[in-house]
Amino acid sequence: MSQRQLTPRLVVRALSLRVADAPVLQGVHLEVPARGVLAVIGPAGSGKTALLRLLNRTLARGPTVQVEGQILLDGDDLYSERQRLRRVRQRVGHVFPDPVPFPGTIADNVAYGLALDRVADRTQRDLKIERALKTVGLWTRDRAELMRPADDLSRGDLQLLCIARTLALDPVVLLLENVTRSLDPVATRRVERCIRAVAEHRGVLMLTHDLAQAARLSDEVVYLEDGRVIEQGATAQVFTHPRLQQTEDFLAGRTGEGLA
Amino acid sequence: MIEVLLLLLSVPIGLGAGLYFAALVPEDGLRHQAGVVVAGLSEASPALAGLAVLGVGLQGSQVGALACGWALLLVPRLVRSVERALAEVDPGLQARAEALGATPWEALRTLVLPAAAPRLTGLAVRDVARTLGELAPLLVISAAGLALLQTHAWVAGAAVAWVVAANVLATLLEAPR
Amino acid sequence: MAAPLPALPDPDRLPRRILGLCAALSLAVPVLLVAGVLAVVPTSSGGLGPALRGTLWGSLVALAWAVPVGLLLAPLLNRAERPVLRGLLRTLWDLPTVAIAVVVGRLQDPGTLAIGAIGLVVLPHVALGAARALERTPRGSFRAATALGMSRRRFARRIGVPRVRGAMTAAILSGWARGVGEAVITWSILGSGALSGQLVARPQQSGQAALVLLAVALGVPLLTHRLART
Repeated sequence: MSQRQLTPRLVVRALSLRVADAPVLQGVHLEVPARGVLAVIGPAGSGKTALLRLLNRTLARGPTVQVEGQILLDGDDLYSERQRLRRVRQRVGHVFPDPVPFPGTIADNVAYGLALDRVADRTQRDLKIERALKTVGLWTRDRAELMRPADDLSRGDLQLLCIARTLALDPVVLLLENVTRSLDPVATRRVERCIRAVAEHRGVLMLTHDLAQAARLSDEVVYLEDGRVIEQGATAQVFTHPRLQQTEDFLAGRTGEGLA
Repeated sequence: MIEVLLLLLSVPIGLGAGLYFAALVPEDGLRHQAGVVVAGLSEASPALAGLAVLGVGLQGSQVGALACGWALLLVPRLVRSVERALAEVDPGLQARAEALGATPWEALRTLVLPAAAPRLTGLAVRDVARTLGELAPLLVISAAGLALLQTHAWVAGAAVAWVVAANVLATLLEAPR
Repeated sequence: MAAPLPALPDPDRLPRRILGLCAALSLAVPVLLVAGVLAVVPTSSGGLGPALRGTLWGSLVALAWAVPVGLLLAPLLNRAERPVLRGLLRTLWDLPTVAIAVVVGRLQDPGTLAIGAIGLVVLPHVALGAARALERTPRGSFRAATALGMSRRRFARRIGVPRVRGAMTAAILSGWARGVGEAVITWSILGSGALSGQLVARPQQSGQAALVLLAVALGVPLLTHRLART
């Protein structure tokens, strides 16, 4: 079943962002599919990170921060008064570029979000932890293994743990911000396998500077430059036959030649 | 009565103020500056506290002078210790906890403070011991009685013992698990 | 129509208010210190000048031995590999000079020994502060520079030292401030010089001492704050 047959759950319409009178995003339209990976690529300063922050309401507020447009999660305005912030963050998960474990065991880490919500039912909680760890490939029947301190893990495993931490809350959409940036190639491959596994059941929006990775993993891709969507579409199409010269220049590494 | 309150409440007030200034206030702004001023007084001389207590008019009551001096010396030290303990915690913890739905205070309470606890306890124990030891000169100056110290010279020895014990305790508390 | 991001209700209202109250109460400390000193100043007698100068001089002399020793010790403290030495210095840092004053006071000629003793509390400020300053050396730049052929001495001179200069000065300054505060107490208890009898017998008249101590207590931290940031 192609993901095009399911309605996208996170929709961005005509999103514009100005910070201190400088445009950061201009009229961005995109849709994170219900299943599968949407990669967002673009040079530094293209607004990718700001976009991400707007999607889980972590962009810092301020008098100089002006926003226009709509972000809809399952049809609801993400920024409406009725939305509870905690719920938004649970439904729109976010994984940071550098893996930072919480103090405590592996199980403690994955359970953190659940403990906040006071999921009282022990079995419920354990079930969610098990599911999350299975998806990322860190699950083991051995209880003692799960009770190991989280900082014992290798860097790659730590990043998998961070993803599991977010998955435990059963998010609708997962925002991955350069998650393999600090990992060696082997760990990167493991995380990429995990991303494909995650994308089987939910939408993933992935920021990456690694174009080969974007080509490997994503089903659709959005190319941002200077806050505008230059081109978007099926990955295979955009990478092999980009419609615009700008896109082709970026993919070929020609963007940014000469002094900025 | 007030003296007892001062003696007891100085610790929670100092810790609470430290937490406020270090974690709940934007980095630029009047409140942050106020925190810098309070923390800066952590190395103030007990002689200063003693003279101030005198000026405020407490020389009659020795207990009053002690309690006031204790508060004046201890609160800034605890404020600075909270700042130092929190600074050693990975700043990424707060952001990641909030990304999972925690409010800023929840993130502090459930993650950042427990991580900072060993270091904070170590620092706070030393602050208390040091302030205890300094009450003697403070009393001498504020309540005007050198004879006090000369007859009770053992106070000096006790002060040193406090400090050494506190430092040993602090080192043990701060040692990694 | 562009608009700022909507505000969120603050779920942390209660803890924020409680902690804010603690912070407000803590402001009573600088207020009381200033108020108390200002109350003491008008009733003070003159003629404290020379004694005060003696105290300041004494603190500088204490610096004379404490700074070199402190700077020599600083590199040794750089990693957490010497907990005993660090613990010893921290203990010295917390030491109330009343202890030293009482002990020294029992000897015949307290003068020079007293100055030496003050240095004992100045030393940890310099040593630990300088150690912290050294921890900020740019290791990455060092490796890069030496890989390209720069000598270690040149690196230290052109890059290393300027980087840590601010924090080093801050460490020495904080040591001096401590020395001043302790000297006042030590002198007053040891009874050498006009300041001593004054401070203990008629402390209400020690306005000048109070002002100096206040200026040091408020000014030095602000200075070191700025210096340590460079």
